[in-house]
Amino acid sequence: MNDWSQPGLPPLPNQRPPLPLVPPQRGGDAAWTGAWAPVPMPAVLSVERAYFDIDTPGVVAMAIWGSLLSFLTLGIYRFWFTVNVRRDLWRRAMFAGSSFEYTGTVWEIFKGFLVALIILAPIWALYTLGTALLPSRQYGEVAGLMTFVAVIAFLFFIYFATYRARRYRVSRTLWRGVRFHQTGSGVAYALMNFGWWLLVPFSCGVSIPFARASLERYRMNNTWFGDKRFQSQASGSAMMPGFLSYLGLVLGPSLLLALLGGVALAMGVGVQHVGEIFDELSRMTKIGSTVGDRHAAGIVFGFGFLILAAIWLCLAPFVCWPIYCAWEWRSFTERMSVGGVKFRSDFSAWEFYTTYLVFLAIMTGLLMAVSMVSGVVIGLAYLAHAKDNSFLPIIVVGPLYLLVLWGLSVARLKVFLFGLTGKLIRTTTVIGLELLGDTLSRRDKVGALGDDFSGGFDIGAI
Amino acid sequence: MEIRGPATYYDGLTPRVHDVAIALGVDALTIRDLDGTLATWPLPRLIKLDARRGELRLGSVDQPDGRLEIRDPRLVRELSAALRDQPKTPGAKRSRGLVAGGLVLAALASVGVLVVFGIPAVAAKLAPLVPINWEISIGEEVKPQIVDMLGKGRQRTVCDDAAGAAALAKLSAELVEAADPPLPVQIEVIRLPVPNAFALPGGTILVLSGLIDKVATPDELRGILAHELGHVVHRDAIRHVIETAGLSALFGLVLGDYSGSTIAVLTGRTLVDAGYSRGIEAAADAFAVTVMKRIGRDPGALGDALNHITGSTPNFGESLAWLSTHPSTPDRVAKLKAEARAVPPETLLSQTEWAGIKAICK
Repeated sequence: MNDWSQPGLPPLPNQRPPLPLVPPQRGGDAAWTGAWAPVPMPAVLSVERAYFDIDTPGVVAMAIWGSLLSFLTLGIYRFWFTVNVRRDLWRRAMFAGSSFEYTGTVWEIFKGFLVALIILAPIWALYTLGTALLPSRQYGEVAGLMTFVAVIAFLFFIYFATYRARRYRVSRTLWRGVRFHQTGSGVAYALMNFGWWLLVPFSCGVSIPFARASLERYRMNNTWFGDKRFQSQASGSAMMPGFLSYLGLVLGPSLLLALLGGVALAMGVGVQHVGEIFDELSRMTKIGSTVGDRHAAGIVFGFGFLILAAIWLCLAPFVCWPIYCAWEWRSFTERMSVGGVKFRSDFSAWEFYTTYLVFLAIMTGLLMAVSMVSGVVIGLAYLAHAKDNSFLPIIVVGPLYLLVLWGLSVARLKVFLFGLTGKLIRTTTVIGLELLGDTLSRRDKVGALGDDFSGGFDIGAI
Repeated sequence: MEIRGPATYYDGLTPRVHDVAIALGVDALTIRDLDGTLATWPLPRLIKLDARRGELRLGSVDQPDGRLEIRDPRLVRELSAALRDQPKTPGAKRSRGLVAGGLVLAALASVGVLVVFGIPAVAAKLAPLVPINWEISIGEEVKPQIVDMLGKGRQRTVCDDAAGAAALAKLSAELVEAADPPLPVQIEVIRLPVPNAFALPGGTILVLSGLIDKVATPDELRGILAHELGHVVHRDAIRHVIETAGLSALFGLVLGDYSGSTIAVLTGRTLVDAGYSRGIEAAADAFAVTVMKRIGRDPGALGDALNHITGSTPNFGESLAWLSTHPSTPDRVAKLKAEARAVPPETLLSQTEWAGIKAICK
C-alpha cells in the first residue's frame, strides 16, 4: 500500500502549480529500521502544493454568531467559539488532499483557563498592591519592586503559555490518523525569550534575527509527527542580509532626509556663499517671497526634510516589517524538514500587504457608514426636539460602536486568521511526502492534557 | 440492506493510505482490502469527524485516531443518511448542548452574584484592614492632583479668607469630635462654582464654593460635612479602590478580553459602580443623621441642602436614576426629612461668622 496518489479524489479548485524544484538529497531516514518495512523510495520525490480551502462558505457566519454569543454571555461562549474556529481552520488545510483534523475540546481549554487563572491571580494581586494600594511615598521601593516583579512574572507567563498552548494545539492535530506532538519545556522557552530580548538593546537590534531563528529552532526541533522529528536549520546569519536590508529601508531614507535637512539648515542659517541654490529654490517655490530671503528658505526646507525624516523613522519600522517577515517565513520554511520531507514557500510580502489593505478598507468603510448614520440620526433628533436630548449621542453611538466592533471581529477572523493562514498554506510546496510512509504514531502519556493556557485568553492568534 | 463502496482507511498507527472497500451492515461497519478484513467498527461506537468539503470522515471510539475517509459522492450521501443520528465527536451526546447552556447560565448567575454581593462584601471587609498611615500617604499623593484638577487655570484655588476659615474651623471642630474619625480630618473649600463636596482618601474633605453659595443655614452645611465625614469614617475611598481593582480583575481577567467586550465592561463597570455608590451614599446619610443628633442639630437640614443643590443641576429623570451615583434625591430627601426635628436657634456661630463662611471665596 504505497500508493500516495488517491483515486477518486475530486480535483481541488484554484490549486497553484507546485514550485519547480530539483529534488533534494534524501536525509538519513533511509537507514530507519523498525516494525514496518522501509517504504521503497521512488526515484523522484513527489512535489505537491499544500492546499487551503477558502471557497467553502461558513467562516463569516461562524464569526458573526461566535462574536455575538461571546458578547451576550460576557465571554463565556468564547471557549466554544475558539474550538469551532480551530476545527474549521484545521479541516480546511490539506497536504496531498488529506485534510488536517483538530481533536481538542471545550473542556480541555476550560481546564487550561482555570490553571492560568490560578497562576495569574497572585500576579494580578501583586500588581494591584504595587500600583494602587501601597502609597508610593512611604513604600516607594517596595511598591516599585512589586510592580516590577508582577510585570516580569506576567511576561514570563505569556512566553510560557504561548509555548504550552502551541504544545496543546500541536498535540490535538491529526493527519492521516497520526498525531503531531511537541516536546521541550515552556520554562526553557520563556527563559530563552528573556535572554534574547535582554540582548536586543545591547546589540542595537542586530540580535533580533538570531533571537527569532533560535526560538524557531527550539519550537520546530521539538515538534514531532508520530515518531518523526521536525528539524529546523533556521539561521540568524542567513537572515542577516534580509535584516540589514530591512534596517536600510528604515534608516536609509531617514538618514538621507536628515542629511538634506542638515545641509539646508546650514546653508540657510550659516553659510553665506553657497546659498545661491536656495535663492533659486525660493524664487521657484515663492517661499522666499513670503518669508523673506534665502535664510528663511533654508530653514523651511531644512525643517521640512527633518520632519519628513522623523515621520519615516516612526512609520517605516511597521510599514516595512512585513517584507522582513515574508523573507523570514520563506527562509524558515525552506530550512525545515521532517523525516526527509522538505518544504518550500513562495509567500511574498505583497500577500501581507493585500491582507492589511483589505482589512483597512473594511474598517474604513464600517467607520464611515457608522459615522454617517449616527450623524444623520443625531442631527434629525436635535431638529425634532431642541431640548432634553443630552443622552441621545450615547444611546445612538453606543450600539453603533458595538456594531463596528462586531464587524471588525468578523473581519479579523475572515481576513486575517482564515485569509492569511490560507495564503501561508497555499504558497507552501511539500517535497517527498511519501517519505513519511514509515512513520509510527506515538501513543505515550505525554498528552498535553488541557494545558492550553492561552486559549481562554487572547494570547496568541489562534 | 448493506451500503457498500470504496473508501480510504488510516489505521491510526501509520499515515499509510489503505484503499479499502467498506460495508455498513445492521450493527457494524466492516473495512476490507484485498488481504482481508482490516477492521470492524460496531455501529454504536461509530463517530463522525471533521472533514474537508464533500468528504465524510468516520472513526471508532475503540480505535483511537483510526480514520475512514469517504469521498465517493454516492457513498457519502447514503452513509450520511444512514448515520444521521451518530454523534459528531467522541462521547458527544445530544444533551451536551443543554448542559453547556445550563453551565453558561450558571456562570453568568455566579458572575452576577459576585459583582453585586461578593466584591462589595470583600471590599468592605478589606478596607478596615488597610493601615491608616497607608491611607494618609495615599491621600497626600492624591490631594494635590485633585486640587490642581479642580482649580485648573484659576488663581488661589483653595479659598483661605481668614475670617471664613476660622468660622469654618469652629463649625467643623464640633462635628469632627462627634464623628470621631480614625484619622485627622482637613476641610478645605475649593473655588469652583459647582455645588458638590468630596471625601478624598486620607481624611481630606473638599467643599466646592458652588456648594457654599447654595446652603442656606449652618445646619445645612453641617449636614453636608457630616455626610462626608461618614465617607471618611467608613473609609469609602479605600473601599472604592479595592472594589475597582476587584471589578477590573473580574471583567478583565476572568471574563477575558475578547473583541466587543470593552464596551460591555465599561457599561457593566458604570452600572455596578453606580449601584455600589448608592449603598455607600445611603450609609453616609445615615451616619450624618447620627452625628447631627449627637451634637443636637437638625438631621433634616441635609435634606434641605440636597433640595437646594438639585434645584440647580440638570435632572437625569426617573428613567436614568440608575445611572446616577447618588440615590435619587427625592428618596434621600424623604428619608432625611423623616428625621427632621425642631432645634434651638444657632448658638455656636454668630451671624458675622456665618457670613464669613459664605464669603470665604469672595
